[in-house]
Amino acid sequence: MLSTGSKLYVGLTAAAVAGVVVYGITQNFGALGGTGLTFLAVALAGLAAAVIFAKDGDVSAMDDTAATTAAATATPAGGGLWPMVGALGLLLLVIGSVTDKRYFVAGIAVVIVTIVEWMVQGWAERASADRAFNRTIRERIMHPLELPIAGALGVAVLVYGFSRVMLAVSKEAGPAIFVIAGALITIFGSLFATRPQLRSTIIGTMCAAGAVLVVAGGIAGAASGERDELAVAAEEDHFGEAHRDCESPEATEGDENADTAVAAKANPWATLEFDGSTLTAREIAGRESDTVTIDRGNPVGFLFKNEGDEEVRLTVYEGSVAVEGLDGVTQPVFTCTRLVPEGKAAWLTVKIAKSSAAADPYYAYVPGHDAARVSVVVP
Amino acid sequence: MSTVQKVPSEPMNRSSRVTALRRAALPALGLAMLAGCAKDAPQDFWQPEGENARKIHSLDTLVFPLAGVVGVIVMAIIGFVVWKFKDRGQAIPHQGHGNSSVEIGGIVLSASILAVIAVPTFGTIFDLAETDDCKMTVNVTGQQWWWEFSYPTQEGIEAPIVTSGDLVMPAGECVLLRVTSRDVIHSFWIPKLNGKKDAVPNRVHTLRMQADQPGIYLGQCAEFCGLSHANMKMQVIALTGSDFGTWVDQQSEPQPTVAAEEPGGAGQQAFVSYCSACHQINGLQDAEGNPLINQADVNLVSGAAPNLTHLMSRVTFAGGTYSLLTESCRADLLGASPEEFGAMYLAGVSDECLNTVELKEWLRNAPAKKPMYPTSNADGLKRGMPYLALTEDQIDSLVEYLLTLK
Repeated sequence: MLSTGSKLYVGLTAAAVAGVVVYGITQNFGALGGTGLTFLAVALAGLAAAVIFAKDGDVSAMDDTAATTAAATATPAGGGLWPMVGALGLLLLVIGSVTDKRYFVAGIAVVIVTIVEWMVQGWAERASADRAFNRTIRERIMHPLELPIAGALGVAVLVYGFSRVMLAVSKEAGPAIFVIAGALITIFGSLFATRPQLRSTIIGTMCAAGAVLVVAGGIAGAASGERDELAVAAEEDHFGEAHRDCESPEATEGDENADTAVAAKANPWATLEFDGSTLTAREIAGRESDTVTIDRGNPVGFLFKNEGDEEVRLTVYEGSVAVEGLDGVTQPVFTCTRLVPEGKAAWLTVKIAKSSAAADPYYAYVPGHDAARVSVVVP
Repeated sequence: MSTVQKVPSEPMNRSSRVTALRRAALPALGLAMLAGCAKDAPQDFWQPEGENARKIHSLDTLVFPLAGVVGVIVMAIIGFVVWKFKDRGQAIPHQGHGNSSVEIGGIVLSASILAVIAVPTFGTIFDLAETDDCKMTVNVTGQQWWWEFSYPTQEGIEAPIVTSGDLVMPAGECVLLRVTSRDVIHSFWIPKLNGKKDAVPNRVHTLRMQADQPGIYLGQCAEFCGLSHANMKMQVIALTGSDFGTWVDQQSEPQPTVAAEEPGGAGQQAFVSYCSACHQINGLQDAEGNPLINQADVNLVSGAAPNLTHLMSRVTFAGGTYSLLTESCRADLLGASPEEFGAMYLAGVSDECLNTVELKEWLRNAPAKKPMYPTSNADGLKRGMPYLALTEDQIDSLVEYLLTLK
């Protein structure tokens, strides 16, 4: 007769085989998923066989005494959530295989958790005829795994929720929320530390309430979306490496903390200062010039200071590159800072591989202020 | 036939070993002291020949004796304690814990000595960090295994100049070097003119350089940077102000393209075929009249190779490893008086003075003359000059052409 544990493995094996078939049909037998699911099915089949052979077979049907005292014959502890969780995992696997691989990965995670938990639970329930002992032995095995993972997940949820709140609120409200949250944590932390007689249920309730508040705020923040300037910056791909919108003076994204980077003050090849109409280069030793000579093929840093009365960016023309697949067609290459607010500074790393003799003149300029231009010479 | 029987040597007993060590110590100490008496030591930082090196030297003359005295006292105390309390089978002495007077006295004495040293040390550090009083700037870029010197446009220099091996500058003036690297960390060091300065990728460090008199001041990379670190040499060439102006004028001129039938024409063709992929000669044009631009950025790890436009105006090649001058001509130049040095240097390398032997050996098989990585890395990029499999005729014609690059 098959025990509950054996039935679990047999069922999981069947589910894994079904997963292989579904994944294979929908994903054209993709190598990674197909291999993973196939090995999962094989491994589960092996486990099912081992359990059937070693566990279900260790009580003889003819042994009357064992039939009443052996752990293997004890009545199961009752229903659990794992079948439902496992079903959810399988559902995620199926949905993920046809929609988004993130669901697929989440499904794999849920299935793995289900397998491990259900397997250990199934084993523990048969460890002895004493249910209390069985529960203890299960906790001894699983708590070292469950508690850190659950703690990490809880922290991740809180951090993610809080980050959604901070991205949604205005830049003015952000620091205030941060200060209030920090103050609350300090106050309640101090309270808990200095009042050890407080009942744990009170502490637990307060922590849970705080967590619920953060999660609810995170959901609300995610639903309302990021604040306008971040949304616009994302649309303009200001955060992408391949940002090429360097010639536009109209983007609204600005980094008010651009001048707080240590490197921006420590080691510039040249400082380029915009006064609202002209751009002046100042190399080390304080010489002003309308030309900056930089190393060929070597990254050099420009510190751009905006002393004008509007947000602007520094853009450097680095020559042109051939367009792949189009003979003789080239496209200009620009690199630029983000928009720099008035009175602030930003750092720009420039690397030009070819001598100036090989190309049109290189230059740095401020889009929207064509007269604000400095030649960049590569010997 | 007689047989020779080896007699096993007896193991040296303790007293014999001590005697042997004593006998060896005296000559070793003597040799170490004699090393300090070297006269012909072009990289001796105890012989400063510039304002910045003199500041360091002044600090050394204070710190070294002081450190020496402290060192001798400490060693003497250690020696005394070792001798006095040597295990002679005596009873273990009283095991005390600390002595407040000795400890506080030691701390106060050490702090006082450090305070005395700190005052001139910080003063020297701040003096050497000054950048505002230098009239000229030169960009110094290290790469495996040579130094590039780039002169930005500035007063007296109308267009950028790029050279390597020889850092030419006016004597008697402060020149500000902006030191960086294209690959790994190097260190720029001209011992007679200033201390070391690390050349770090993506960073620019400043170094003041000033030479009292016209002449040659030798240096070399002072930070281990790979296979040919020991061959990564350089030299400062100090010229009078007017001679430096002449040098700038010379360097600013591009090289004319030589017709195929003219002397050097065949060599120029060989240069275009074998060398121009990495090396630049300003003025050289391709068949369509366009400037011939090197492709070092796609061929070399560092993305750069020495600009050879005025190779024969320098006195070294292969990253300063070898002299372009024969031994006697180099000796003449090194021994020249400050008054005659400028004219001799500006004359460039003559036919008679060219170190043809080593230049040809270099062209024949560069990796054999200077350890480098002859094969490309995973990205197809090389470090240093590869073996080019040139024929002897090509080598001869190349040397003939290179000799025209004054």
